[in-house]
Amino acid sequence: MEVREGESIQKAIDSLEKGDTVKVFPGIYHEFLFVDKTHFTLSGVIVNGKWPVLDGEAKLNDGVIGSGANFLIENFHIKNYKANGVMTQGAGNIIMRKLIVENTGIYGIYPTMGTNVVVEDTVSLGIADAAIYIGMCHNVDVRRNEVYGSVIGIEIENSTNVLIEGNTVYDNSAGIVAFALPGLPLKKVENVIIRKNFIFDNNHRNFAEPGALVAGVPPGIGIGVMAGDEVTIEGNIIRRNSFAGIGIGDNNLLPNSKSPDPDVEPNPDRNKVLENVFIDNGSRKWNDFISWIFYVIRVVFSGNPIPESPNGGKVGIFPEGYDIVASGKGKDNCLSSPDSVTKIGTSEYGICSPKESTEQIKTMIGDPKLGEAKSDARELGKQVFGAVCSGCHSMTLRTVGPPIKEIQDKYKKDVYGVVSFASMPKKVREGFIEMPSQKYLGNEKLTAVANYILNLKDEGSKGVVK
Amino acid sequence: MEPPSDFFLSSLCPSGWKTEKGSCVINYQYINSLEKNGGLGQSLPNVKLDPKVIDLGRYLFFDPILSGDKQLSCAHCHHPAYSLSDGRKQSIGKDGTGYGPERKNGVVLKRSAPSLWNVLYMKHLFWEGRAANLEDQADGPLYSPDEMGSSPAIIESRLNENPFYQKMFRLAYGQKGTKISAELVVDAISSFERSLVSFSSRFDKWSTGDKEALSDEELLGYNVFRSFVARCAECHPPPMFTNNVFATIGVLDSGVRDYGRETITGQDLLRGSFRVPSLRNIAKTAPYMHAGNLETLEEVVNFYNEGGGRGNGAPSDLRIHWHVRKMGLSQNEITSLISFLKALTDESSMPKFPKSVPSGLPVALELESYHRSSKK
Repeated sequence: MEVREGESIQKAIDSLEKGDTVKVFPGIYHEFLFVDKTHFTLSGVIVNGKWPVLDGEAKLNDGVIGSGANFLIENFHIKNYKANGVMTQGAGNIIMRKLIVENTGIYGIYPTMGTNVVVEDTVSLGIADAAIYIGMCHNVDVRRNEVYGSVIGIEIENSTNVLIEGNTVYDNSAGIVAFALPGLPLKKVENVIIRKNFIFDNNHRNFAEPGALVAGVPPGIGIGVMAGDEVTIEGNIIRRNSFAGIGIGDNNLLPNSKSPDPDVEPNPDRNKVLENVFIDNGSRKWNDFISWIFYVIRVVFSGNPIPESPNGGKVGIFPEGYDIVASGKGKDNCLSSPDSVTKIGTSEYGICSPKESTEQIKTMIGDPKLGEAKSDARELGKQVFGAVCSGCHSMTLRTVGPPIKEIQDKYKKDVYGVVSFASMPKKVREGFIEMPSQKYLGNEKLTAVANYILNLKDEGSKGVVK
Repeated sequence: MEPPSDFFLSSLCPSGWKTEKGSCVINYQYINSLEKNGGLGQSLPNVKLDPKVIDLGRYLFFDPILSGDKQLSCAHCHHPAYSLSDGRKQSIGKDGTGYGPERKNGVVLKRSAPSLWNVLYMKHLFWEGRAANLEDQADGPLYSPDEMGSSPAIIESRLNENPFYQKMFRLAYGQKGTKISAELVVDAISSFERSLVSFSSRFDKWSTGDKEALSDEELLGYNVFRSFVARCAECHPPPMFTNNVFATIGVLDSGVRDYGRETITGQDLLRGSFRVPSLRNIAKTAPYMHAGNLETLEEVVNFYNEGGGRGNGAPSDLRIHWHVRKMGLSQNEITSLISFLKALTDESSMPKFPKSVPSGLPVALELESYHRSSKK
């Protein structure tokens, strides 16, 4: 299905079944899109360098929200939405790639609650919270993205099995962060690899909305780990981040992140900082006397060294000027070459084993079944059968209608035959009442149930069909 | 009304359930996948219940014999006519007369009675989550002097003297039921409460592919609901419409200051935080919030739209959840959001009201005010 400028993308989405592709040609579209179907592809077509643009004009809420598994979105320029650029909710097997996302109010690219999520080859800028935000997901690859001019470049929140590789992250308040936050249904950040990224000049003024969680993030952080476990940082180039190249701490770091959640373990454990390149981190440039005075006054009165921190929360005073700044208690953390980095707070850190490497891990994406909708067609067929058909049809006995065995003998593998009969039944057998039309179930359910019926095996008295 | 000579325990599963090998299991007719619903990556409850125990629990639930003064049943505050709540700001416990909004003259309790729909899904019971399961929860209202003012001894002596209950417990529990214990009573009531499911709203039909089930306005409302401007779906994700955590939104109390979850854990960070309730049947369970101080869905949506407690003068010592913020919704968005919330209504599995109970005591029933919206 093709959509051209002046037509509605949403109309096209709504008119299609699952497993379809909508191709959107270049032009400007002022729409917010919702995809509540599985196996769906939303694909922009780029003609002579012109992209299809989704423009919310600062009036619409979100660019795209997907809730179906196996969703792919690519080749869109998404800008000026009040909330998020692209978001998926509860859906797995997601691919988001080749997107430009700019000036969206909260997050740029935001998959939540999904398993098997790929975010690659995107550019995000000017996002007032996290440009790429991995929220409560499992098995995620974030690769080769460029993120700049945002409060947080890439944020991993309460997710497990995440690979962040080959991204270019600059001019944000903080580059890449992994946070375990309290008060959410999933309780930890675990098994994260941050590898081979370019992370430089993340000193942007923090322009998050006051009260937002990230409003308390001090500008000047390359990589931040808060209460995360098993985060491995390897092979990154980390340059000119004025507060700290890498900051690792517990849940007391931010005014809003102190953990009142008994299920969130607040300390960073088993994190590994392997070989990285650190250049000129932790040298905050105070180029005028006035700022210094204000800074000292603020620290004295609030104990809070962070210029843009809201709520007057205490964050703990870090000295400045280090490649690696650590705070809080944590167990079994290690550094590869502690002597070649400037560091503070790492006295409890061990030395990582020289054999330690993440090289053999190429991806975190797992079996697609994990991300599939639990209900494949068969499951749907089973449900429809249980809800609708089983009242009148049993496997071998004649109840109200003929037994399934007879239907199977008659139709063999002719799914369509069953579907069309069920849509427009005729009286066939003497002594049986005519079946009411099942057309109201719609094509998807009828096809699923017809497949289910024709493949149903007689399990005898067990009555369970595997 | 004369009690019938015989109370019969149904061996059929209640509405919303189906029989599987002699037990009842939930019939998730429309919830065919969480992912498809854009839901929470969390499994739906799959419990097996005994239909006879459910039915016994139903009689106990409606029978005032369990309360010290024989005046109060569970159903007085969790009434079918008020969608298993009582339509009150704050519930009235001991010494009251009547039920629902008309109830008066008794001990006014601190909080609003939560509705029991899908209570089997809740990981924490009571607004501040002080009980972890329904069995522990039942001890609260049963034995609180402000509510039913009963005791295990009272319950056991009365029920063991009642021939109907003697027979029914034996029927439901076999040998175990020959001597009625308070524990068995609570077990039966909990079973009944677990049977109160609501998973067949128009939203569920829509999410399993019936695109006609929601109107355009309701669909727009759903899109506002899950948009990141409103962020409702963050704490109320489908299909359960709760994420089972505690959140501080800064809603005001009715009367005395309520410290919520802090009173349980002692953490000031949890001051004024309460259990996130499910939104299923929310249109039927006004007034809203832990102290019932918001009377309509409009008031609730406006409260959030103004930034929750941040915009409504909540005490400054509350740490309000970072998702609660000024939304700036348009009037059209607000209206459609409310329409959507109404599409979460499904009372098709409302339990049957027993016309009389084994004790012969009067049940909290006025036929005029009790309309069952059943889809037979």
